[in-house]
Amino acid sequence: MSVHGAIRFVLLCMAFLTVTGCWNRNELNEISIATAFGFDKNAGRYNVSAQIINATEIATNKGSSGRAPVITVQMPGRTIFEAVRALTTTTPRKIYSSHLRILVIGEDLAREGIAKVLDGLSRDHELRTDFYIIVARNTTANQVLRILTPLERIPTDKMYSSLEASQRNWGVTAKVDLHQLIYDLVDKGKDPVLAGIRIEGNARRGGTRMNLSNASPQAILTYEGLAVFHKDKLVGWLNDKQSKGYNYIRGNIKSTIVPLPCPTGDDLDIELIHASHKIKGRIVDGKPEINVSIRAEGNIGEVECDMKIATNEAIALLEQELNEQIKDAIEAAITRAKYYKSDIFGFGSAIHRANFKAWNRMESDWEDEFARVPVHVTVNAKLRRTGSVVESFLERMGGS
Amino acid sequence: MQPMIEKGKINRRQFAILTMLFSLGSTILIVPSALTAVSKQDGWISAIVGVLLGMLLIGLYTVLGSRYPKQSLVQYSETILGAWLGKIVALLFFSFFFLLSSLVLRNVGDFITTIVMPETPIQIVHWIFVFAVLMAVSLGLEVIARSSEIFLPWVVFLLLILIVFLVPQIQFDRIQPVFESGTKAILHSSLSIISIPYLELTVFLMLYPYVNHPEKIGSAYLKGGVLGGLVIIIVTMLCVFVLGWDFTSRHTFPSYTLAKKIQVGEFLQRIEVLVAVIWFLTIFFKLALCFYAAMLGLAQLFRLSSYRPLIVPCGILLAVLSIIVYPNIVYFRVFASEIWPFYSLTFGFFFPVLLLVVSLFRGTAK
Repeated sequence: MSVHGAIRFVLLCMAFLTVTGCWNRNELNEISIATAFGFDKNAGRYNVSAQIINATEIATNKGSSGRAPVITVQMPGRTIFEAVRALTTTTPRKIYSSHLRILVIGEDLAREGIAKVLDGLSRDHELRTDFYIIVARNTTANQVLRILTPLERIPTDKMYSSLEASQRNWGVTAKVDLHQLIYDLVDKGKDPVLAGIRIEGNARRGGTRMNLSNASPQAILTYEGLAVFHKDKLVGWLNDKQSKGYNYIRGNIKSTIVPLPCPTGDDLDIELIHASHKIKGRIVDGKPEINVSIRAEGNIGEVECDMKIATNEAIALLEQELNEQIKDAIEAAITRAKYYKSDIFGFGSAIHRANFKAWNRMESDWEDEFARVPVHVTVNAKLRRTGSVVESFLERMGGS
Repeated sequence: MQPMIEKGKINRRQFAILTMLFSLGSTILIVPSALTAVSKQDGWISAIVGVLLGMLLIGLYTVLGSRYPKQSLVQYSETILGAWLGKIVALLFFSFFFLLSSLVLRNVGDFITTIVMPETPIQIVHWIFVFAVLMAVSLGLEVIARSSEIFLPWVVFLLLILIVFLVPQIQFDRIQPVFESGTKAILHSSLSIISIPYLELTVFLMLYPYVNHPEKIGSAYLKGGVLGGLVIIIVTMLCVFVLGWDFTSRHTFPSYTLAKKIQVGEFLQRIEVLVAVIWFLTIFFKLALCFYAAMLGLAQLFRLSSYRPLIVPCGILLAVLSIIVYPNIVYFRVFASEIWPFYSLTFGFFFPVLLLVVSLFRGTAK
């Protein structure tokens, strides 16, 4: 072999060095996949809980072996990052957090302030920013992560899809990911809001396999209300109506149900199919003012009274009632938020966008300004369709 | 007449493509963050101002370059300033190109070890990258130019993916209020895009004699610069629209964070590493051209008949220099925003103007 050939051969062999795969590989059998983290604070120390997939239990297609599909481990630490790493003393493998879908924050920690625990999350390269953050209502994050759910094998999946589904179809929760949360925390003209989750039933029993074998589980996880923050501290909760009002203003409503009272008593439900929003700030005589306008379209979804709805007058009446209902929810949300002095709607940002000079003047005492700011709400709701039937059969039964 | 070291010839189209890829390399990773640091949500205006000023710089280079269509920057430094002074200036230009190479290489290493593989030693990343660059440079300018033609469609395709899939996430109110930061802050921020990449485009003055019809290069130079600038403006706008200025300015590599945001339905997500191919390709061309210019300049400075014997030793130096060139990422961010503009101003503005003025005065143009 010539010298030239020898050099080529050596170079060729060197090329193999580059195809050995990643230095930083994470083999599936060397990691524990965490789908949810829970943060609590207890006596000055953080408690980090992680819900880890029990891979052998999830992977099997045959009958399960009787072991729980996930395990929830907990570890205290001075900082979040320290606690996460210390978790390896209780789990057999390193925790892999790229597939994180939910972060639960305990109510106590939320009341103390959440900003400090978020930095590590946005710094770590393994984490993506697309997991949702929720607050454990009246309980600790650890308790929430211990509940086993019957329909989804992995409880995190239940929390994740239930949040998505309820935001899309019901409109009283809020999907907030890390990016949005940090954005809201930094933005002086907008305070954050997170969805609240609650354990209904017996929390202790909910953590055992028994919870999976009952037709009506001992404990279930439900979303209830929105957690209102001022800066990074939890200050209170919105109820369902106010939460819906909040979502109207923020344009988060995809679809929801609005119950309207019939003139003849009983109720009638409107299904909103489309809603859009507009927040405009302006400065009038040096004072801020907010205009909120909502446009919505709906169908009649359910009639539980013997009202005659197939007339133009009835539709006009219902449209007017719908307007009032939506406006009522919005105003309830605004009143509540003003009570907490927490600008969850981003009215401050609207002022900032409209007139930054005026905003710079009032930025420092915006929380007081917000509590006084007049908000003009206009709602323009239209009814379009009545579903597969027009007149309800109840009307034919005629006051029986 | 000095020996012609580079025998290959490239056409003006290739020159334009190289200019565009060069102006994107490492710029697109670092600059959105610098642009929004001072002028906040007006960062995109700074980008536009910077690109416009960059055009003036390209105009300056074109005027200088086309006065000596048969010589490279290093060669006509000697023609203009005389043997000794010229050699000193040429040596300084070599140091500029070489240092730039090491900084660009370190960008690659930092990017990979921060985002993709944090436990991989940065040296390994550098060696692998340097290996490819050494190969490209030893094959010569023509090969680099032709491979840029092959890779350009990929860069364009991936950029389109990035832009199109992020359109649904655009929130227009994040860019408001417009002009809040004021003229001074906007100009201050635009300095970052002028220094990276426009002042660095002096590298292309080394390629002048190897382009067909060098006297008509100006339009290709400008075209490449404008296209690259346009992409930077669009990416900066996307950063502000999608991430918000605060996120953009705080992130080390905001455009990568941007790619992470791509999520179309449940299926099209987590494709950020695919998009990162844009940075790898553009940085590769930037590094290859910087290193090529450095090697060519050194060879011409010492009247060597070929620059190829220099490649391996200088490649080793490059890999070592890139490790020691700055100690940590914070140092780099301070360096890039406070020192580099003035350093590159020396080589991208002061020396070219000096050369041009002296050349006009002495009338040595050929």
